[in-house]
This record gives sequence, C-alpha cells and structure tokens, in this order.
Amino acid sequence: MNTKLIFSIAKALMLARWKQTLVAAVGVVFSITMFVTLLGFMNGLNDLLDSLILNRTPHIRLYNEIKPTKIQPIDRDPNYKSSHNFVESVKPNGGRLEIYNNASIISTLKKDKRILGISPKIAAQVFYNVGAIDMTGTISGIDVEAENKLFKFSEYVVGGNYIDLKNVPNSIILGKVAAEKMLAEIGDIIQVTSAKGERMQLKVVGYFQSGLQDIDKVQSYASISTAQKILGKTNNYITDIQIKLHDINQAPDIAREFSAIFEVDATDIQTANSQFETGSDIRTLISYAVGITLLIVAGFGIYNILNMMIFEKMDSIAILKATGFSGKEVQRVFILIALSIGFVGGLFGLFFGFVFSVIIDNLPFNTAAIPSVTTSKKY
Amino acid sequence: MDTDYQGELLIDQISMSKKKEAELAKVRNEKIGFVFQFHYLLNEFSVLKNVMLPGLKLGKYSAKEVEFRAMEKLKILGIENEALKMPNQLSGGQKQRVAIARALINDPLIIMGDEPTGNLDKKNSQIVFDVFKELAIESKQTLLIVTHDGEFAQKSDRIIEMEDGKIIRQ
Repeated sequence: MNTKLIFSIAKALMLARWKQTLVAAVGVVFSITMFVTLLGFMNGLNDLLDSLILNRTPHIRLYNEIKPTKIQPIDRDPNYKSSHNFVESVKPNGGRLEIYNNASIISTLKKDKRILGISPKIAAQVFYNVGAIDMTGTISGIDVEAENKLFKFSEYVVGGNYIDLKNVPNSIILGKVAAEKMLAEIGDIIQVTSAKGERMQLKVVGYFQSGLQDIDKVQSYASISTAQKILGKTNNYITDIQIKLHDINQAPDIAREFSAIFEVDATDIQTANSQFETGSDIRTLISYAVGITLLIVAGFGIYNILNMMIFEKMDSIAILKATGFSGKEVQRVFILIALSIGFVGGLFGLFFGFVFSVIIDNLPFNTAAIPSVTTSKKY
Repeated sequence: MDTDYQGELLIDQISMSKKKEAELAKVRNEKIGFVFQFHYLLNEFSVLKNVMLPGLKLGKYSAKEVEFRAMEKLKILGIENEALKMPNQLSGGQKQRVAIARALINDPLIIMGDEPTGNLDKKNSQIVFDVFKELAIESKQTLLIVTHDGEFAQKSDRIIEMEDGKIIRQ
C-alpha cells in the first residue's frame, strides 16, 4: 500500500514536469549510447590491431640460434674443471640452424593438449635474380594448410590463389613490392639463387602483402619441399617450429619448458612483441578513461536535474511531511525518480548503443595498404 | 514538527519527546491536521487526490473508502464540485478549504492552523472562519490557530497572546 503510494507520487511528480524528466533521460540515453558505441568501437579496433600481429605471430617459436658453445673444451678438462677459465674471441661453430630430430618433436607436440596447432617452417636467405641485378630476399618454406589455419595466410595473399603454392611444384608467392620491382606477373618464372650459390627457377602463383613495405620487399613464400630444394637439403630439414596455444598467457612458461625438453631455443610472443602489448594496454586504458568520463558526466547530469527538482518541490516536500510522510519516505520518492530516469535511459542507451555499433560495423571501410583490415569481411 | 524544545509535550496522553522521526511522521498523519498560510496543495495531484493523500498514507481504509470519505469532507466544505479539478484552477479561498478538507480526512485530534487566513481576502477569510466554527461546534473538533488577525482571534474560545516567544496575556 505504502510502496504503491510512493510510486504514484513519484510518477505524478515526474509527469508534472515531463519535459525536465525527458531532458534528464535523454542525457542518460546519450551517454550510455556513446559509452557502448565508443567502447565497442575501440575494443573492436584493439582486437583488429592486435590480430594483425597475433594472427601472424606464433605464440612460441622453436629454433636454433647461431651462438658459441657454452661449454668450451677447457671446461671439460679434469685439471681445470673447478677453475674459472677465460677464453677470448670465441666464435660460433658450424651454425647448424636445423632442428634435430624434428619429426619426433612434432609428433610429441601434436599430443600436447595445451597446443592448438603447429606449423613447421624453413627460413632461407636467397637472391632474386632480375637480369644482371641480384636483390636480397627471404623465402619462408611453409606447410601451406597449417600456415593458413593458424596464421590466416590466405588473407595476406592478394593475387592468385594461396593453395596453388602447395599444388604447383616449384612455385612461389612473391612479396608485392618485390614482385613490382621484378615486374613479375602471376604465371611468370623467376630465378633465385640460394646463399650457397645454387640456382633455381620458380613459378609465381600469387602476391603476398602484409602492409609493411620493408617486409613486402623481401619476404616470399614457398612450400616446405620447394624451400628444401632451394637450400639443397633433405626432406627432414626444418629450421623453425611455430606453435599456437589455446591460452596465449601460458606462452612464456611453456616456451621455457620446451626449450629445456627439446634442447632448442624458444621465444614466446610476449617477449618477441613486448612493445605491442604495451601499446594495446594503453589503448584500452584510454578508451576506458573516455568511457568512464562519459558516464560520470551523465551521472552529474541526473544529479543536477534531481537537485533542481528537489529545490523546486520544497513546498511539496513540506506538505508531504505535514500530511504524515517521514523524511525517509520523501527521500524514497526522489530516489525512485532518479532510479527510473536512470533505468529507462540506460535501457534505451543500450539499445541505441547496439544500433550505432551495428551501423559502424556496416560502414564500408577498405584500405589498400592493409588488405586484411576491412569491414566487409567477417571473421 | 520541531524537536528542539524544553519540557514535556503530550498528545493524547503520549509523550512526544522521545519519539523517532518516523513515529513523529505517523503522529502528524494520524492525530494532527495542518492548514498553512502559503502552500496549500500539491499541484501535481487533483483536488480529490490531495485530500485522499493523508488517508492513503494512513492505510486504515481501502482506497475506495478513502475516496468516499474525501468526497464527504469536500461536501461538508461545499466544494464537492471542484473535486476533479487541478489545484491551480481554484481560487485562494477554495484552495484553503481543500486544505482544511485534507486536514480532516483522518479525523485528527487537533487541527493546527498557521495563519490560515493570512493570505486571503475578507470574504474568503470569513468563509474559512465559518468552516472552522462549524467544525468546532458541530464536530467538536479542537482547533489550534496562530494568527495576526485580531478580529479573527476575538471570535475564538480561548486566546493566548504571544510576543517575541513569550506569553504576555491569557
């Protein structure tokens, strides 16, 4: 009974000055709308920028670093075992980049439940021969299907079909900039020379564009077997194992673990891209600062209007109290007014926020520089 | 109601001194009817709803009964035809009579008037006074009225004259 009465009083007070109530509610609607829209937009943008790196980077990379041996012959000598030995001008030996016993490493990794997928890779230094001129470049030998599944390879292939890399023997997908320099069209044959001096003819089946000029100038892709042929290696030669995990946050721990087990070097994504994580943190921070400011402004808006309302209604409050309403009940009336303005405004705000987000999502946006950044493609 | 006073205040043999805010509100609702000089009615509600409000707050009768009783009170004061109008459509005298009806709705022990005629012209003052007198004689209703109007005071049963917070004549 009492609650019903308080409700009816609150309703009457609101409807008596419905324009004022509407202005307050519109203020709330606006700020909630902008809060949802802005944060949604910023979050989406963050995810997109993150994915530009995350999609392309393995969570853990296993490889062999060229470096001098830690244990020098003198350390093995029983006479000097307990002493401090200083050896100067130590040079790395041999420099075998290959991961030994990679087949069994891969089969072990495939059984690991924490791992989403693995993709072997060969990095080969080459020269592109264009007439009399040689341009330096890197050819990555990849397992095309695994690479596409884990690192969305196909999104970065702008000309031709990425799967031709696997189906056409001795084929290559050239970096866009490199292809322009060589005037190489799809279907053309180009010649590359490996670091060891071996020459090989490759058929261009597509272009690759990452959006980074420096990378597109040197980076090309071939299948693993083609890369092994370029380097003149056997078919168990692999220099990198790229691992994608289910939980990216475990990367540093698992990297350390694998490094110890398989006796290889292992880098995790957090170490390899620390600048990226900082940038993404700061972006999140800024967007939340903007959003919270909006909410606070809206809060003050309601507070102000309510304050004015109470000031205007002093007479009514006096009458209510004289006719037997306690201070608490009068307070409840005004809190009820504030709550209903906030609640209704919030609901509409959520709705309009959603609508605006959908509109932003459907705005046509394409950039030639980074073909994978577009609103027309759904992930 | 002021809570900062010395001595003892009894309403219906019950001391008001130690009561909490919510309990005092209940006393105001049940046992006292107020009639003010300036603010009479809630402009957001119709005349009838204004009169019903203290009754609904008391919750002793159902809404239908309260409405019926409110109409009765309005009839006593001769303004039953204005029941569904909004307060700002009424004249000053009519508003004050609605306020009196509202003060009466819960059959209070005492009606307190703070210069109830202070803001009215001669004719309306007379009407309000007649209403009060009728209540006092016919309904045996106690009225406690503060006024500057000597003429008004002369017609009442008991006069206590005050100056600067002190009683000077009884």
